[in-house]
Amino acid sequence: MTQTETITAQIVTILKGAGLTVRDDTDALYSFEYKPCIVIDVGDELADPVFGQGYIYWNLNFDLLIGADGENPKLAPESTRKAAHEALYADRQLGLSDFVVDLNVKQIQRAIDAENPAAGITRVAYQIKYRVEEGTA
Amino acid sequence: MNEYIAVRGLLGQAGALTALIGTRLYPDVLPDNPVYPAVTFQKTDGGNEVGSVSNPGICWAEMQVSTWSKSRIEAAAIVKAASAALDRARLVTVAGVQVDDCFWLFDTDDHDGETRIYFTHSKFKIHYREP
Repeated sequence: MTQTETITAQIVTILKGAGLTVRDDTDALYSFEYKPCIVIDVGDELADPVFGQGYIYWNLNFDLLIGADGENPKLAPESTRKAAHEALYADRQLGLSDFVVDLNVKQIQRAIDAENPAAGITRVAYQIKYRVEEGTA
Repeated sequence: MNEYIAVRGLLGQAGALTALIGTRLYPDVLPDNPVYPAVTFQKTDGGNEVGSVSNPGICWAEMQVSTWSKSRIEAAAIVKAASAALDRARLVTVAGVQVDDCFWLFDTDDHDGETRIYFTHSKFKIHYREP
């Protein structure tokens, strides 16, 4: 299991522990699935090599796609976004302090689903910095 | 199959429509020697959401509801009643089928000169669940 897999599984555990509905089997929400629901979209990683010290620091990007229905769709996911963010930021090392260095939120984007006019989708971008020994993943 | 059950259920429970066509509501085609006015409905397109290893049972279908009448005015009234029954039928369970939402897309009017029948094809997109 790579550190990325471990981190993703831990995010799922944290969000489910906060009572949220989470899945990671697609990279988008379904227009008419039961909401509120969160999809974790695991993204790219960029390395910060530390020369001569035997470590690589990785910056892992992941997005939370938060869907909720409401008469004001763009703001319908707000309570779920708040709950998810507070759950993640309760421990910015995600309970993985042996290799996760920090968690940072980067951007929030809001949209209305193309098929379901009541469904708001908020994309919250996060970045996690973690450390591995050179030659491991 | 649930899309047919849902559309038939929504149209069949619409009192304003029933007042105009009675029970003359048929899947796909009119019966032989039909009595007018009448309504048919059929699926013209459809699909479902796709998961990584299984599908979640969230489906959609484009349904054509066709109104057949000897009068354009009567046909227009039936189209209006059918549209009211289907358009934005949201979060309802009909004949055991969960309907997430339904949208009217467009109407096409025409007339058959040989039979002197006026008809309108109304297209709807319905989102529903399969077990």
